[in-house]
Amino acid sequence: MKSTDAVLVLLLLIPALLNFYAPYYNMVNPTLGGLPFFWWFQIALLVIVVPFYLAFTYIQKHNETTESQGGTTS
Amino acid sequence: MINYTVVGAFLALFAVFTFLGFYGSRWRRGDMGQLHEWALAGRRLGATLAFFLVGADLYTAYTFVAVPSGVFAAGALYAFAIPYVAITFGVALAFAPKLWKISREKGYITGSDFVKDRFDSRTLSILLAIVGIVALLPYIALQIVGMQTVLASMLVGTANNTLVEEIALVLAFIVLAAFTFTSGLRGATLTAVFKDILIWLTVITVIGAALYEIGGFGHVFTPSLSAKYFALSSPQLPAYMSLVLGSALALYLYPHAVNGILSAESAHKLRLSTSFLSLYGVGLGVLALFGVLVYAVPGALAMVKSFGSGLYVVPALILNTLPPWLAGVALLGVFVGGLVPAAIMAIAQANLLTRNIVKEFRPNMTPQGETRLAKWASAAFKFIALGFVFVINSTYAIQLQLLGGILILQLFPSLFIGLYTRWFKKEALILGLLGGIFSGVYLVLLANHFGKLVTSAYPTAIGSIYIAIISLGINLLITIVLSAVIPRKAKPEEVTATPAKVSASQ
Repeated sequence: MKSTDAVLVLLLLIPALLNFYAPYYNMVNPTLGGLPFFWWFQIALLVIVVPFYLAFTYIQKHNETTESQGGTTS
Repeated sequence: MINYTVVGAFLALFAVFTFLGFYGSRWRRGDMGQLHEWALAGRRLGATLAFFLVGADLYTAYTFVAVPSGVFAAGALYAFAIPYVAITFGVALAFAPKLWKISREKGYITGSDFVKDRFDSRTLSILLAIVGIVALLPYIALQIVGMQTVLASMLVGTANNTLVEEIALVLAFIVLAAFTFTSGLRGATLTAVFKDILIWLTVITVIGAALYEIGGFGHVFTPSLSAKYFALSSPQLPAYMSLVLGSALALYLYPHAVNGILSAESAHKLRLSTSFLSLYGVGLGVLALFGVLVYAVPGALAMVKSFGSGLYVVPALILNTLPPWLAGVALLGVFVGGLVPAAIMAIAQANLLTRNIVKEFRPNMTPQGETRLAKWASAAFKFIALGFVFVINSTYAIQLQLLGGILILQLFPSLFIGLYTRWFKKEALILGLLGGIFSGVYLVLLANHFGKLVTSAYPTAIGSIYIAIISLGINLLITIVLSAVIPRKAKPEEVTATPAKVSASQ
Protein backbone atom coordinates (compact mmCIF):
# COMPACT_ATOMS: atom_id res chain seq x y z
CA MET A 1 0.00 0.00 0.00
CA LYS A 2 1.42 3.36 -1.04
CA SER A 3 1.47 6.21 1.47
CA THR A 4 -0.96 8.23 -0.67
CA ASP A 5 -3.39 5.30 -0.42
CA ALA A 6 -3.31 5.57 3.37
CA VAL A 7 -3.97 9.30 3.10
CA LEU A 8 -6.89 8.66 0.75
CA VAL A 9 -8.41 6.15 3.16
CA LEU A 10 -8.07 8.60 6.06
CA LEU A 11 -9.64 11.41 4.04
CA LEU A 12 -12.81 9.32 3.82
CA LEU A 13 -12.60 7.56 7.18
CA ILE A 14 -12.19 10.66 9.37
CA PRO A 15 -15.36 12.42 8.11
CA ALA A 16 -17.24 9.12 8.37
CA LEU A 17 -16.29 8.62 12.03
CA LEU A 18 -16.94 12.27 12.92
CA ASN A 19 -20.49 11.84 11.71
CA PHE A 20 -21.12 8.25 12.73
CA TYR A 21 -20.03 8.32 16.37
CA ALA A 22 -23.07 10.15 17.73
CA PRO A 23 -22.38 9.83 21.49
CA TYR A 24 -19.78 12.62 21.43
CA TYR A 25 -22.10 15.23 19.89
CA ASN A 26 -25.30 14.11 21.58
CA MET A 27 -25.71 17.08 23.93
CA VAL A 28 -27.77 20.25 24.21
CA ASN A 29 -25.07 22.76 25.25
CA PRO A 30 -23.43 24.91 23.99
CA THR A 31 -26.37 26.22 21.99
CA LEU A 32 -25.93 28.46 18.94
CA GLY A 33 -28.58 31.14 18.51
CA GLY A 34 -30.92 29.02 20.60
CA LEU A 35 -30.23 25.85 18.58
CA PRO A 36 -29.05 22.83 20.62
CA PHE A 37 -25.49 21.60 19.95
CA PHE A 38 -26.83 18.28 18.63
CA TRP A 39 -28.53 20.11 15.77
CA TRP A 40 -26.11 22.85 14.81
CA PHE A 41 -23.02 20.67 15.08
CA GLN A 42 -24.41 18.04 12.71
CA ILE A 43 -25.33 20.72 10.21
CA ALA A 44 -21.83 22.23 10.60
CA LEU A 45 -20.32 18.79 9.90
CA LEU A 46 -21.90 18.86 6.44
CA VAL A 47 -19.64 21.81 5.66
CA ILE A 48 -16.61 20.45 7.54
CA VAL A 49 -16.48 17.26 5.44
CA VAL A 50 -16.19 19.15 2.12
CA PRO A 51 -12.44 19.97 2.36
CA PHE A 52 -11.73 16.29 3.12
CA TYR A 53 -13.68 15.17 0.06
CA LEU A 54 -12.11 17.83 -2.16
CA ALA A 55 -8.62 16.81 -1.03
CA PHE A 56 -9.49 13.19 -1.88
CA THR A 57 -10.73 14.27 -5.31
CA TYR A 58 -7.61 16.24 -6.23
CA ILE A 59 -5.13 13.66 -4.90
CA GLN A 60 -6.92 11.06 -7.01
CA LYS A 61 -6.75 13.31 -10.05
CA HIS A 62 -3.04 13.82 -9.50
CA ASN A 63 -2.51 10.05 -9.11
CA GLU A 64 -4.41 9.34 -12.30
CA THR A 65 -2.45 11.82 -14.42
CA THR A 66 0.90 10.47 -13.17
CA GLU A 67 -0.35 6.88 -13.66
CA SER A 68 -1.39 7.51 -17.24
CA GLN A 69 1.95 9.19 -17.99
CA GLY A 70 3.75 6.19 -16.47
CA GLY A 71 1.48 3.87 -18.44
CA THR A 72 2.50 5.29 -21.82
CA THR A 73 6.21 4.69 -21.20
CA SER A 74 5.91 1.12 -19.89
CA MET B 1 -60.84 27.87 1.78
CA ILE B 2 -58.90 27.42 -1.40
CA ASN B 3 -56.48 30.29 -2.07
CA TYR B 4 -56.49 31.15 -5.76
CA THR B 5 -53.25 33.13 -5.66
CA VAL B 6 -51.43 30.08 -4.26
CA VAL B 7 -52.98 27.76 -6.85
CA GLY B 8 -52.43 30.28 -9.66
CA ALA B 9 -48.70 30.65 -8.90
CA PHE B 10 -48.40 26.88 -8.57
CA LEU B 11 -50.07 26.21 -11.92
CA ALA B 12 -48.16 28.93 -13.78
CA LEU B 13 -44.82 27.50 -12.68
CA PHE B 14 -46.02 23.99 -13.34
CA ALA B 15 -46.59 25.05 -16.96
CA VAL B 16 -42.95 26.21 -17.15
CA PHE B 17 -41.86 22.92 -15.62
CA THR B 18 -43.87 20.86 -18.11
CA PHE B 19 -42.38 22.85 -20.98
CA LEU B 20 -38.87 22.10 -19.69
CA GLY B 21 -39.70 18.41 -19.42
CA PHE B 22 -40.84 18.20 -23.03
CA TYR B 23 -38.07 20.47 -24.25
CA GLY B 24 -35.63 18.23 -22.36
CA SER B 25 -36.44 15.31 -24.59
CA ARG B 26 -35.12 17.35 -27.54
CA TRP B 27 -32.23 18.95 -25.69
CA ARG B 28 -28.73 17.89 -26.86
CA ARG B 29 -30.63 15.77 -29.24
CA GLY B 30 -30.19 12.04 -29.31
CA ASP B 31 -32.29 9.27 -30.73
CA MET B 32 -34.93 8.74 -28.05
CA GLY B 33 -35.70 5.36 -29.58
CA GLN B 34 -32.39 4.17 -28.10
CA LEU B 35 -32.61 2.91 -24.53
CA HIS B 36 -29.37 4.46 -23.35
CA GLU B 37 -30.48 7.81 -24.73
CA TRP B 38 -33.77 7.67 -22.85
CA ALA B 39 -32.23 6.18 -19.74
CA LEU B 40 -28.68 7.55 -19.50
CA ALA B 41 -28.95 10.84 -21.39
CA GLY B 42 -26.30 9.52 -23.76
CA ARG B 43 -23.72 9.72 -20.91
CA ARG B 44 -22.74 13.29 -21.57
CA LEU B 45 -23.43 15.02 -18.29
CA GLY B 46 -20.62 17.26 -16.99
CA ALA B 47 -19.84 17.99 -13.34
CA THR B 48 -22.61 20.56 -12.96
CA LEU B 49 -25.39 18.48 -14.45
CA ALA B 50 -24.24 15.29 -12.75
CA PHE B 51 -24.38 17.31 -9.55
CA PHE B 52 -27.98 18.24 -10.19
CA LEU B 53 -28.95 14.76 -11.28
CA VAL B 54 -27.59 13.14 -8.13
CA GLY B 55 -28.66 16.16 -6.08
CA ALA B 56 -32.17 15.59 -7.39
CA ASP B 57 -31.96 12.38 -5.55
CA LEU B 58 -31.18 14.07 -2.30
CA TYR B 59 -34.05 16.51 -2.35
CA THR B 60 -36.95 14.20 -2.66
CA ALA B 61 -40.16 13.77 -0.72
CA TYR B 62 -37.88 12.00 1.77
CA THR B 63 -36.29 15.33 2.66
CA PHE B 64 -39.36 17.53 2.35
CA VAL B 65 -42.07 15.44 3.80
CA ALA B 66 -40.82 12.25 5.44
CA VAL B 67 -37.89 13.53 7.54
CA PRO B 68 -39.71 16.61 8.95
CA SER B 69 -42.68 14.36 9.68
CA GLY B 70 -40.51 11.87 11.55
CA VAL B 71 -38.86 14.66 13.56
CA PHE B 72 -42.26 16.18 14.33
CA ALA B 73 -43.58 12.88 15.68
CA ALA B 74 -40.52 11.22 17.24
CA GLY B 75 -37.98 14.01 17.76
CA ALA B 76 -34.21 14.03 17.36
CA LEU B 77 -34.00 10.37 16.27
CA TYR B 78 -34.92 11.32 12.70
CA ALA B 79 -32.11 13.85 12.54
CA PHE B 80 -30.07 10.77 11.53
CA ALA B 81 -30.70 11.93 7.96
CA ILE B 82 -28.12 14.72 8.45
CA PRO B 83 -25.00 12.60 9.27
CA TYR B 84 -26.24 10.02 6.77
CA VAL B 85 -25.98 12.58 3.99
CA ALA B 86 -22.53 13.70 5.17
CA ILE B 87 -21.19 10.13 5.10
CA THR B 88 -22.90 8.83 1.99
CA PHE B 89 -20.84 11.07 -0.30
CA GLY B 90 -17.65 9.70 1.21
CA VAL B 91 -18.96 6.22 0.45
CA ALA B 92 -19.73 7.43 -3.06
CA LEU B 93 -16.16 8.70 -3.53
CA ALA B 94 -14.83 5.25 -2.68
CA PHE B 95 -17.25 3.45 -4.93
CA ALA B 96 -18.66 5.52 -7.77
CA PRO B 97 -15.54 6.50 -9.79
CA LYS B 98 -14.34 2.89 -9.73
CA LEU B 99 -17.67 1.64 -11.02
CA TRP B 100 -17.73 4.45 -13.59
CA LYS B 101 -14.30 3.46 -14.98
CA ILE B 102 -15.03 -0.25 -15.27
CA SER B 103 -18.41 0.50 -16.82
CA ARG B 104 -16.98 2.91 -19.36
CA GLU B 105 -14.32 0.38 -20.35
CA LYS B 106 -16.71 -2.52 -20.74
CA GLY B 107 -19.91 -0.75 -21.76
CA TYR B 108 -22.01 -1.57 -18.70
CA ILE B 109 -25.05 0.58 -18.05
CA THR B 110 -26.37 -1.05 -14.89
CA GLY B 111 -25.01 -2.63 -11.71
CA SER B 112 -26.34 -5.97 -12.93
CA ASP B 113 -24.18 -5.72 -16.07
CA PHE B 114 -21.11 -5.40 -13.89
CA VAL B 115 -22.00 -8.28 -11.58
CA LYS B 116 -22.85 -10.58 -14.47
CA ASP B 117 -19.45 -10.08 -16.00
CA ARG B 118 -17.36 -10.00 -12.83
CA PHE B 119 -18.83 -13.13 -11.23
CA ASP B 120 -19.81 -14.80 -14.45
CA SER B 121 -23.34 -15.39 -13.19
CA ARG B 122 -26.60 -14.70 -14.98
CA THR B 123 -28.55 -15.75 -11.89
CA LEU B 124 -26.81 -13.19 -9.69
CA SER B 125 -27.30 -10.49 -12.31
CA ILE B 126 -31.02 -11.19 -12.68
CA LEU B 127 -31.41 -11.35 -8.91
CA LEU B 128 -29.69 -7.99 -8.55
CA ALA B 129 -32.06 -6.47 -11.11
CA ILE B 130 -35.12 -7.85 -9.32
CA VAL B 131 -33.96 -6.55 -5.93
CA GLY B 132 -33.21 -3.14 -7.48
CA ILE B 133 -36.66 -2.91 -9.02
CA VAL B 134 -38.47 -4.03 -5.86
CA ALA B 135 -36.41 -1.82 -3.52
CA LEU B 136 -37.38 1.23 -5.57
CA LEU B 137 -41.11 0.54 -5.27
CA PRO B 138 -41.53 1.83 -1.70
CA TYR B 139 -39.14 4.71 -2.47
CA ILE B 140 -41.35 5.75 -5.40
CA ALA B 141 -44.40 5.31 -3.17
CA LEU B 142 -42.85 7.85 -0.82
CA GLN B 143 -42.56 10.36 -3.68
CA ILE B 144 -46.21 9.84 -4.55
CA VAL B 145 -47.11 10.48 -0.89
CA GLY B 146 -45.12 13.73 -1.02
CA MET B 147 -46.88 14.96 -4.15
CA GLN B 148 -50.21 14.01 -2.67
CA THR B 149 -49.46 15.98 0.49
CA VAL B 150 -48.75 19.17 -1.47
CA LEU B 151 -51.93 18.91 -3.53
CA ALA B 152 -54.03 18.11 -0.48
CA SER B 153 -52.61 21.10 1.42
CA MET B 154 -53.74 23.40 -1.41
CA LEU B 155 -57.16 21.82 -1.79
CA VAL B 156 -57.93 21.84 1.92
CA GLY B 157 -61.38 23.24 2.63
CA THR B 158 -62.94 22.20 -0.69
CA ALA B 159 -64.22 18.92 0.75
CA ASN B 160 -63.56 16.86 3.85
CA ASN B 161 -59.90 15.98 4.37
CA THR B 162 -60.24 12.31 3.44
CA LEU B 163 -61.78 13.10 0.07
CA VAL B 164 -59.23 15.85 -0.53
CA GLU B 165 -56.41 13.38 0.08
CA GLU B 166 -57.93 10.80 -2.27
CA ILE B 167 -58.35 13.31 -5.10
CA ALA B 168 -54.80 14.55 -4.50
CA LEU B 169 -53.44 11.01 -4.74
CA VAL B 170 -55.10 10.36 -8.09
CA LEU B 171 -53.86 13.68 -9.52
CA ALA B 172 -50.31 13.08 -8.28
CA PHE B 173 -50.23 9.66 -9.86
CA ILE B 174 -51.48 10.82 -13.27
CA VAL B 175 -48.95 13.66 -13.44
CA LEU B 176 -46.08 11.30 -12.55
CA ALA B 177 -47.04 8.67 -15.12
CA ALA B 178 -47.42 11.21 -17.93
CA PHE B 179 -44.16 12.96 -17.09
CA THR B 180 -42.00 9.82 -17.00
CA PHE B 181 -43.46 8.44 -20.17
CA THR B 182 -42.62 11.48 -22.26
CA SER B 183 -39.36 12.92 -20.99
CA GLY B 184 -36.67 10.33 -20.21
CA LEU B 185 -33.54 11.11 -18.23
CA ARG B 186 -32.67 14.23 -20.21
CA GLY B 187 -35.99 15.82 -19.44
CA ALA B 188 -35.71 14.77 -15.82
CA THR B 189 -32.20 16.24 -15.50
CA LEU B 190 -33.18 19.55 -17.02
CA THR B 191 -36.20 19.80 -14.74
CA ALA B 192 -33.96 18.78 -11.82
CA VAL B 193 -32.07 22.06 -12.21
CA PHE B 194 -35.34 23.98 -12.18
CA LYS B 195 -36.55 21.99 -9.18
CA ASP B 196 -33.40 22.63 -7.18
CA ILE B 197 -33.61 26.38 -7.74
CA LEU B 198 -37.17 26.35 -6.43
CA ILE B 199 -36.18 24.17 -3.52
CA TRP B 200 -33.39 26.44 -2.32
CA LEU B 201 -35.71 29.39 -2.69
CA THR B 202 -38.25 27.54 -0.56
CA VAL B 203 -35.84 26.44 2.15
CA ILE B 204 -34.28 29.89 2.55
CA THR B 205 -37.49 31.92 2.45
CA VAL B 206 -39.43 29.63 4.78
CA ILE B 207 -36.68 29.40 7.39
CA GLY B 208 -36.20 33.17 7.16
CA ALA B 209 -39.90 33.99 7.38
CA ALA B 210 -40.60 31.46 10.14
CA LEU B 211 -37.65 32.54 12.30
CA TYR B 212 -38.61 36.19 11.80
CA GLU B 213 -42.16 35.46 12.91
CA ILE B 214 -41.09 33.33 15.87
CA GLY B 215 -38.12 35.47 16.89
CA GLY B 216 -35.30 32.91 16.63
CA PHE B 217 -34.65 29.30 17.64
CA GLY B 218 -34.53 30.36 21.29
CA HIS B 219 -38.31 30.71 21.12
CA VAL B 220 -38.70 27.22 19.65
CA PHE B 221 -36.37 25.23 21.89
CA THR B 222 -37.95 26.42 25.13
CA PRO B 223 -38.23 24.45 28.40
CA SER B 224 -41.87 23.68 27.56
CA LEU B 225 -40.80 21.72 24.44
CA SER B 226 -40.42 17.98 24.97
CA ALA B 227 -36.83 16.86 25.69
CA LYS B 228 -36.94 14.43 22.75
CA TYR B 229 -36.45 17.35 20.35
CA PHE B 230 -33.23 18.64 21.94
CA ALA B 231 -30.99 15.58 21.61
CA LEU B 232 -31.14 11.77 21.71
CA SER B 233 -31.84 9.70 24.80
CA SER B 234 -29.11 7.10 25.44
CA PRO B 235 -31.29 4.11 24.41
CA GLN B 236 -31.80 5.77 21.01
CA LEU B 237 -28.09 5.82 20.18
CA PRO B 238 -27.79 2.31 18.67
CA ALA B 239 -30.83 2.93 16.46
CA TYR B 240 -29.47 6.34 15.46
CA MET B 241 -26.00 5.12 14.55
CA SER B 242 -27.24 2.07 12.68
CA LEU B 243 -29.73 4.21 10.72
CA VAL B 244 -26.88 6.55 9.77
CA LEU B 245 -24.62 3.71 8.68
CA GLY B 246 -27.27 1.64 6.88
CA SER B 247 -28.64 4.61 4.96
CA ALA B 248 -25.19 5.92 4.05
CA LEU B 249 -24.07 2.56 2.64
CA ALA B 250 -27.36 1.99 0.82
CA LEU B 251 -27.92 5.20 -1.16
CA TYR B 252 -25.45 4.60 -3.98
CA LEU B 253 -26.54 1.00 -4.48
CA TYR B 254 -29.94 2.13 -5.80
CA PRO B 255 -30.28 1.62 -9.54
CA HIS B 256 -31.12 5.28 -10.15
CA ALA B 257 -27.97 6.33 -8.26
CA VAL B 258 -25.93 3.96 -10.45
CA ASN B 259 -27.60 5.63 -13.44
CA GLY B 260 -26.53 8.99 -12.06
CA ILE B 261 -22.95 7.77 -11.66
CA LEU B 262 -22.74 6.35 -15.16
CA SER B 263 -24.19 9.40 -16.87
CA ALA B 264 -21.19 11.49 -15.71
CA GLU B 265 -18.69 12.58 -18.33
CA SER B 266 -15.49 11.66 -16.47
CA ALA B 267 -14.35 10.12 -13.17
CA HIS B 268 -12.86 13.43 -12.04
CA LYS B 269 -16.05 15.37 -12.75
CA LEU B 270 -17.98 12.71 -10.88
CA ARG B 271 -15.73 13.05 -7.82
CA LEU B 272 -15.82 16.82 -7.95
CA SER B 273 -19.61 17.02 -8.00
CA THR B 274 -19.86 14.36 -5.28
CA SER B 275 -17.48 16.34 -3.03
CA PHE B 276 -19.82 19.30 -3.00
CA LEU B 277 -23.04 17.38 -2.54
CA SER B 278 -22.80 17.23 1.24
CA LEU B 279 -23.16 21.04 1.24
CA TYR B 280 -26.50 20.37 -0.30
CA GLY B 281 -27.41 18.49 2.85
CA VAL B 282 -27.49 21.77 4.80
CA GLY B 283 -30.94 22.39 3.35
CA LEU B 284 -31.96 18.92 4.51
CA GLY B 285 -30.81 19.78 8.02
CA VAL B 286 -32.91 22.94 7.99
CA LEU B 287 -35.92 21.03 6.67
CA ALA B 288 -35.54 18.44 9.44
CA LEU B 289 -35.70 21.33 11.91
CA PHE B 290 -39.04 22.38 10.41
CA GLY B 291 -40.46 19.39 12.29
CA VAL B 292 -39.64 21.23 15.52
CA LEU B 293 -40.26 24.77 14.23
CA VAL B 294 -43.88 23.98 13.46
CA TYR B 295 -44.65 23.93 17.20
CA ALA B 296 -43.98 27.66 17.34
CA VAL B 297 -46.28 28.57 14.42
CA PRO B 298 -49.85 28.05 15.69
CA GLY B 299 -51.57 28.28 12.28
CA ALA B 300 -49.28 25.64 10.79
CA LEU B 301 -49.60 23.38 13.81
CA ALA B 302 -53.41 23.57 13.57
CA MET B 303 -53.28 22.49 9.91
CA VAL B 304 -50.95 19.56 10.66
CA LYS B 305 -53.27 18.44 13.45
CA SER B 306 -56.38 18.74 11.25
CA PHE B 307 -54.89 16.15 8.88
CA GLY B 308 -53.58 14.12 11.81
CA SER B 309 -50.30 13.58 9.95
CA GLY B 310 -46.82 15.02 10.35
CA LEU B 311 -46.42 14.94 6.58
CA TYR B 312 -48.06 18.36 6.42
CA VAL B 313 -45.32 20.09 8.45
CA VAL B 314 -43.51 21.73 5.51
CA PRO B 315 -46.58 22.57 3.36
CA ALA B 316 -48.31 24.02 6.44
CA LEU B 317 -45.28 26.17 7.31
CA ILE B 318 -45.11 27.38 3.71
CA LEU B 319 -48.79 28.32 3.64
CA ASN B 320 -48.62 30.00 7.05
CA THR B 321 -45.43 32.03 6.76
CA LEU B 322 -45.10 33.09 3.10
CA PRO B 323 -47.23 35.50 1.03
CA PRO B 324 -49.67 33.49 -1.17
CA TRP B 325 -47.85 33.89 -4.51
CA LEU B 326 -44.56 32.79 -2.96
CA ALA B 327 -46.31 29.93 -1.16
CA GLY B 328 -47.54 28.68 -4.55
CA VAL B 329 -44.00 28.77 -5.93
CA ALA B 330 -42.61 26.97 -2.87
CA LEU B 331 -45.30 24.30 -2.95
CA LEU B 332 -44.49 23.61 -6.57
CA GLY B 333 -40.88 23.13 -5.47
CA VAL B 334 -41.96 20.46 -3.00
CA PHE B 335 -44.30 18.89 -5.56
CA VAL B 336 -41.68 18.51 -8.29
CA GLY B 337 -39.30 17.47 -5.50
CA GLY B 338 -41.32 14.26 -5.46
CA LEU B 339 -42.08 14.13 -9.17
CA VAL B 340 -38.58 14.40 -10.63
CA PRO B 341 -36.93 11.75 -8.42
CA ALA B 342 -39.88 9.41 -8.89
CA ALA B 343 -39.46 9.72 -12.66
CA ILE B 344 -35.71 9.11 -12.40
CA MET B 345 -36.32 6.02 -10.25
CA ALA B 346 -39.00 4.67 -12.57
CA ILE B 347 -36.66 5.08 -15.55
CA ALA B 348 -33.97 3.14 -13.70
CA GLN B 349 -36.40 0.31 -12.95
CA ALA B 350 -37.48 0.06 -16.57
CA ASN B 351 -33.88 0.04 -17.66
CA LEU B 352 -33.12 -2.94 -15.40
CA LEU B 353 -36.19 -4.85 -16.47
CA THR B 354 -35.50 -4.65 -20.19
CA ARG B 355 -31.75 -4.93 -20.14
CA ASN B 356 -31.08 -7.37 -17.33
CA ILE B 357 -34.21 -9.49 -17.14
CA VAL B 358 -36.22 -9.56 -20.38
CA LYS B 359 -33.19 -9.47 -22.67
CA GLU B 360 -31.67 -12.45 -20.89
CA PHE B 361 -34.57 -14.51 -22.18
CA ARG B 362 -35.31 -12.69 -25.45
CA PRO B 363 -31.90 -11.56 -26.73
CA ASN B 364 -33.20 -10.64 -30.18
CA MET B 365 -35.29 -7.65 -29.19
CA THR B 366 -34.92 -4.58 -31.41
CA PRO B 367 -33.74 -1.33 -29.78
CA GLN B 368 -37.14 0.20 -30.54
CA GLY B 369 -38.93 -2.73 -28.95
CA GLU B 370 -36.69 -2.42 -25.93
CA THR B 371 -37.47 1.25 -25.43
CA ARG B 372 -41.20 0.69 -25.92
CA LEU B 373 -41.14 -2.06 -23.29
CA ALA B 374 -39.13 0.14 -20.91
CA LYS B 375 -41.61 2.98 -21.14
CA TRP B 376 -44.67 0.82 -20.56
CA ALA B 377 -42.99 -1.14 -17.77
CA SER B 378 -42.17 2.07 -15.92
CA ALA B 379 -45.86 2.99 -16.01
CA ALA B 380 -46.81 -0.44 -14.66
CA PHE B 381 -44.26 -0.25 -11.83
CA LYS B 382 -45.77 3.00 -10.65
CA PHE B 383 -49.10 1.26 -10.16
CA ILE B 384 -47.43 -1.35 -7.98
CA ALA B 385 -45.67 1.42 -6.04
CA LEU B 386 -49.06 2.95 -5.39
CA GLY B 387 -49.96 -0.15 -3.38
CA PHE B 388 -47.21 0.66 -0.86
CA VAL B 389 -48.91 3.99 -0.09
CA PHE B 390 -51.58 2.05 1.76
CA VAL B 391 -49.36 -0.12 3.98
CA ILE B 392 -47.94 2.70 6.08
CA ASN B 393 -49.05 5.04 8.79
CA SER B 394 -48.63 8.32 6.89
CA THR B 395 -46.71 10.17 9.63
CA TYR B 396 -44.06 7.46 9.36
CA ALA B 397 -43.84 7.57 5.56
CA ILE B 398 -40.06 7.61 6.07
CA GLN B 399 -40.39 3.87 6.70
CA LEU B 400 -40.98 3.44 2.97
CA GLN B 401 -37.49 4.70 2.25
CA LEU B 402 -36.03 2.69 5.11
CA LEU B 403 -37.71 -0.45 3.79
CA GLY B 404 -36.16 0.17 0.38
CA GLY B 405 -32.84 0.61 2.17
CA ILE B 406 -33.08 -2.79 3.87
CA LEU B 407 -33.52 -4.47 0.49
CA ILE B 408 -31.01 -2.50 -1.54
CA LEU B 409 -28.25 -2.75 1.08
CA GLN B 410 -28.14 -6.50 0.43
CA LEU B 411 -26.40 -5.70 -2.89
CA PHE B 412 -23.43 -4.32 -0.97
CA PRO B 413 -21.25 -7.49 -1.09
CA SER B 414 -21.60 -8.08 -4.85
CA LEU B 415 -21.80 -4.53 -6.15
CA PHE B 416 -19.52 -2.62 -3.78
CA ILE B 417 -17.07 -5.12 -2.30
CA GLY B 418 -17.08 -6.88 -5.68
CA LEU B 419 -15.38 -3.82 -7.18
CA TYR B 420 -12.39 -4.46 -4.93
CA THR B 421 -12.09 -8.24 -4.82
CA ARG B 422 -12.89 -11.36 -6.82
CA TRP B 423 -12.56 -13.57 -3.80
CA PHE B 424 -16.33 -14.08 -3.33
CA LYS B 425 -17.85 -17.09 -5.10
CA LYS B 426 -21.01 -16.50 -7.10
CA GLU B 427 -22.94 -19.22 -5.27
CA ALA B 428 -21.98 -17.63 -1.95
CA LEU B 429 -23.10 -14.18 -3.12
CA ILE B 430 -26.44 -15.53 -4.34
CA LEU B 431 -27.19 -17.34 -1.09
CA GLY B 432 -25.95 -14.39 0.99
CA LEU B 433 -28.20 -12.01 -0.96
CA LEU B 434 -31.20 -14.27 -0.48
CA GLY B 435 -30.39 -14.70 3.23
CA GLY B 436 -30.17 -10.92 3.63
CA ILE B 437 -33.43 -10.24 1.79
CA PHE B 438 -35.48 -12.91 3.57
CA SER B 439 -34.14 -12.11 7.04
CA GLY B 440 -34.76 -8.40 6.36
CA VAL B 441 -38.35 -8.86 5.28
CA TYR B 442 -39.04 -11.28 8.12
CA LEU B 443 -37.59 -8.93 10.76
CA VAL B 444 -39.60 -6.01 9.37
CA LEU B 445 -42.78 -8.06 9.70
CA LEU B 446 -41.84 -9.17 13.22
CA ALA B 447 -40.90 -5.67 14.38
CA ASN B 448 -44.24 -4.30 13.14
CA HIS B 449 -46.23 -7.27 14.46
CA PHE B 450 -47.36 -8.04 10.90
CA GLY B 451 -49.31 -4.77 10.83
CA LYS B 452 -48.81 -1.32 9.29
CA LEU B 453 -45.22 -0.22 8.89
CA VAL B 454 -44.17 2.06 11.77
CA THR B 455 -40.58 0.98 12.47
CA SER B 456 -37.51 -0.34 10.62
CA ALA B 457 -35.52 -1.13 13.73
CA TYR B 458 -35.43 -4.43 15.57
CA PRO B 459 -34.86 -4.69 19.33
CA THR B 460 -31.63 -6.58 20.12
CA ALA B 461 -29.51 -7.14 23.20
CA ILE B 462 -27.54 -3.95 22.55
CA GLY B 463 -30.60 -1.82 21.74
CA SER B 464 -32.75 -1.24 18.65
CA ILE B 465 -30.82 -1.69 15.42
CA TYR B 466 -31.82 -0.73 11.87
CA ILE B 467 -32.77 -4.03 10.24
CA ALA B 468 -30.72 -3.23 7.11
CA ILE B 469 -27.55 -3.58 9.20
CA ILE B 470 -28.64 -6.84 10.86
CA SER B 471 -29.50 -8.38 7.49
CA LEU B 472 -26.29 -7.15 5.91
CA GLY B 473 -24.46 -8.92 8.73
CA ILE B 474 -26.30 -12.17 7.98
CA ASN B 475 -25.69 -11.67 4.26
CA LEU B 476 -21.93 -11.07 4.72
CA LEU B 477 -21.60 -14.00 7.09
CA ILE B 478 -23.18 -16.40 4.59
CA THR B 479 -21.17 -14.94 1.72
CA ILE B 480 -17.82 -15.12 3.51
CA VAL B 481 -18.28 -18.59 5.04
CA LEU B 482 -19.50 -20.12 1.79
CA SER B 483 -16.78 -18.40 -0.26
CA ALA B 484 -14.21 -19.94 2.06
CA VAL B 485 -15.80 -23.41 1.89
CA ILE B 486 -16.71 -23.74 -1.79
CA PRO B 487 -13.69 -25.00 -3.72
CA ARG B 488 -12.45 -22.70 -6.46
CA LYS B 489 -12.98 -24.06 -9.94
CA ALA B 490 -9.60 -24.05 -11.58
CA LYS B 491 -9.48 -21.57 -14.42
CA PRO B 492 -5.98 -21.76 -15.86
CA GLU B 493 -5.77 -18.15 -17.02
CA GLU B 494 -6.87 -16.88 -13.59
CA VAL B 495 -4.27 -18.90 -11.71
CA THR B 496 -1.36 -17.58 -13.68
CA ALA B 497 -2.38 -14.09 -14.76
CA THR B 498 -2.31 -11.01 -12.54
CA PRO B 499 -5.71 -9.48 -11.74
CA ALA B 500 -5.11 -6.58 -14.12
CA LYS B 501 -4.45 -8.93 -17.00
CA VAL B 502 -7.49 -11.01 -16.21
CA SER B 503 -9.77 -8.00 -16.43
CA ALA B 504 -8.12 -6.95 -19.69
CA SER B 505 -8.60 -10.36 -21.24
CA GLN B 506 -12.33 -10.55 -20.52
